[in-house]
This record gives sequence, C-alpha cells and structure tokens, in this order.
Amino acid sequence: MSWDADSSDEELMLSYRDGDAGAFDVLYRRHKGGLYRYLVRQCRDSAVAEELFQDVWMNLIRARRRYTVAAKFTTYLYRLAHNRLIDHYRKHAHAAAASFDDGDGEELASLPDGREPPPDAALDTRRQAQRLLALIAELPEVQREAFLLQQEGGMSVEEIAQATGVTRETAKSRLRYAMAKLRQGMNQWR
Amino acid sequence: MALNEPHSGGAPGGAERDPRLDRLYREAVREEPPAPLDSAILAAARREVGARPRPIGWFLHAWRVPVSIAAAVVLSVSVVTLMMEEGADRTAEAPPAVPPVAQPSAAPPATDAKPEPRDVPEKQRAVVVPPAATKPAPAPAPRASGPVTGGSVSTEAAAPAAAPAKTAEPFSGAAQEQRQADDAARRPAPPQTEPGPAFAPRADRESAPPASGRVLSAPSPPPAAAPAEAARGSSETRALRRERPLVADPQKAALLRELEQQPPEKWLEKIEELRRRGETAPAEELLAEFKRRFPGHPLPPGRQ
Repeated sequence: MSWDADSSDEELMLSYRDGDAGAFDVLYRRHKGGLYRYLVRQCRDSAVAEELFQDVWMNLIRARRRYTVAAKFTTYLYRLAHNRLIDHYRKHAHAAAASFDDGDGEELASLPDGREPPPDAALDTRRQAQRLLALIAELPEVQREAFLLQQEGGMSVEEIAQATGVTRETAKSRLRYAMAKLRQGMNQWR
Repeated sequence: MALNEPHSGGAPGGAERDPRLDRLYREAVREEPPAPLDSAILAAARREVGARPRPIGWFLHAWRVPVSIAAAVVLSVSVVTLMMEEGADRTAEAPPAVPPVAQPSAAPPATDAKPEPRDVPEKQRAVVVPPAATKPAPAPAPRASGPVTGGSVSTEAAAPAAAPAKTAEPFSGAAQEQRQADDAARRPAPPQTEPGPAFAPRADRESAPPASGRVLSAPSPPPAAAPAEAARGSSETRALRRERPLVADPQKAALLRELEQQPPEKWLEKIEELRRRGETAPAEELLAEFKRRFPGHPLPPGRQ
C-alpha cells in the first residue's frame, strides 16, 4: 500500500501494527528529525541522543501490537521519549532528573541579562539562530522540554501536558516561562 | 482519523507561539539522525513485522493437504505392490503340489523331471490362478489313479502342498532359495518328479511314502516341516535318502517307468538290449534296480 502526505500518523501506525512495514517507513521519515533534535537538545550529547533515539523507536516497534489510537501519535511518541529521558537522567544524572521535578517557578531574573555585548545590526540570521540555541540550552529542563515539544512535535499545550504527564496549567506555565526567557534573550540582540 | 494536523509547518500553540522564534529555531536546527541509525531502525521495524509469529506451522498448514495426499498415494502403491509380490510368491510356491499328481497318469517319457519352483511359466500360471485354486484338494484323485497307489501317498502329496501356503509368509523368497540350495547340496541327486516311488521296492513304497512324496512333489521343503524333519532324527532321513532315485537322467527314468509293470523277464531283456547297444552304464543301473526289485529272481549266467 502506498502512503501519502494526507495519511495521518495514527493510520500509519495502525497499518504498521497490522504488519505494513511501509507505513512505518513513512512514519519514521516524518518524525525522525524532530525526535532526534528533541533528544539532542535535551541531553546535549549527540552520542547519548542517538542511543536514546534508537531506544525510543525500538520501544515503539516492540509495543506496536498494543498500540491503540488513544491520542495523537506524536503525543504517544514523545511520551515514550520523555519516559526514556527520565530513565536516562535517573541513571546518569540525578540533578537533571530533579530539575524535571521542580523546575517551575523560576524567576525571570535568572535569564540572560543584558550585560552581553549589544547585537550588531548586521548580525545575520545565522548568528541569531545560534544565540537562540544557546538560550534554549540555558533553559531549565522542563521549560526546554515544553518548548521543544511545541517546536519539534508541533504540540499544543494540552498535548504537551499529556506527553509530559502534567496538568494543562503546568504545561502552559512552563511554556510561557520558556517563551518569555527566549524572547527576552533575543531582544537584547536587536 | 485525523488526530494530527497535516504537516504543513503550522505550529499549534496559539498565544504561546512567537513567529520570530519559530523562524529562528528552524534556521538554527538542522540535525538529522545518522544514516546508519536510520537503516538499523528501519531494518528492525521490518524484522519485527516479518518475524511475527505466523499461525501454527504455517508451512505445514499450507502444505498439509498436498503432503497428505502424496503420502496416502505412496503408501497405497507400496502396500498394493507388496501384496501383489507376496501373493505371487505364495501362489508360485503352492502349485508344485499339482504337477506330481497329474504327471503319473500322463507323464511323457521325455518330460523334464526337474521341477523349478521359480520357473517363469509357473509363476505366470500362479498369478492368474485365484488363491482358492491353489489350495490342495483333500484327496487328489489323479494320485489314486496313478501307477503308485496308496492312501498314504495321496495324503503325503497334500501335506507339502498345504505347508508352503501356510508358512510362506514368515519366510522371504531369498531365504527359501537359500534353503533349497542347502537341500540340493545335501542330496546326492536332484529331486525327480515321479520316478522315486517307481524305483522304490513295493514294500518300501508302502512303508516310507512320505519321503518319496516329499521329495517328488515339493520343490522346496516346507519351512515349517524343516525343523520337524530335523527333529525326527537323522536315521530315517538317511534311509530315505538312500532310496532316492538312482538315475537322474529323465530318459532312464522314463525307461524305468516303462518297465514298472513288466515282469522280470522284460527287465532282463531290456538290460541285454542296452548292453548290446553299448550303453553299459544305464544297463548296470537298470540291473542294480532289477536286483533291488526282484532279489530272488535268477539272473542269466554271467550277470551275477
């Protein structure tokens, strides 16, 4: 069976569950980049990210028989990735895992201040992008995760809450803090 | 099913989205997983689908019917072939009981007296004869009308005929042939059809008909009788062997059969005739037989 861009992720996953390997190929091509970048940004180590990336997909493959459409596929996929990340943090870096538990309520004052050199008007977009990545890396884990899930997974606040296992309000708060910090940091380059 | 929006690049999130940040983020990140990782994951996904447990014994399930039919056909052909071969062997062994019964009355003098149990014509005959016909008659009439008469002879003739049919199954054809070869090696001369009883003295014929009957009528001794014969002791067997035909030549046997009913004078005339023709050896054999049959009869001068 041939799959096109209009085929939903859930249809593809159901087809793969029923034995269509081609459906998985389409699904993988759609989400491999976003998931990989999410993991790279989160763990900041490409080698570890690759290992976690493979684990997430293998878990998905192994669990395919139990798959049912209970939510968006991206929510399901990033929930698997989130759980795998938590496991990784708990095993290798307890501090990071702890920050997942109590990352809310940070002050905006901890954001990059304006003491950095003022941005040159001629700075190109590439440098601005590099700056943005640096700002993302400095975000607390949970806020960064919320931002990455929004950017890479295309998720709404509700879906972010579902993927990360928190309430909608918590997810919304995390996302709002992350956006505010990033805006503040990028505004200093203007 | 459209839980997810088409991947058009539009980002949900409503008020929490900043178009400038979205654009900058897309400019910043271009990482993709390495190609080997892609290959490994896709291969694992295909393996998982391909290695899913098929219904029990998929191969056997798909080929069960053809394999069953083939097995049934092969088994049937084997059984039929085996039965035909065994039936042919059984009927081929039984008929030899019939010829000795019929021969005495109409035996031509030049008949080859050597019975060949594995003869092709006999085998062919055995195949067409229905199994019921191979069973020996309880009292063969031709035997009673033959030159050598006696109830014991007729019963003897029936016994060997019945024995092979009864005991043919446990023994293979090769084993029977081996037994025949062994018997032939033990015997001083190959078995004859009917001259045995003709040579035997009348007293002997009446006293020991089983030997003559068995030797003449059975091309191969019945397997079940062989151990019994061995158990009976060697003395009787040796005595019977001594009385077996002295001549193996069918012509001589026919000559003896011709003289069977003749008086002693005719025997002596025939002996003299053979001597005159220069056939001294047959003449001597005939003379020896004459002496056995007519021990008190005076011989011509010079023949004693």
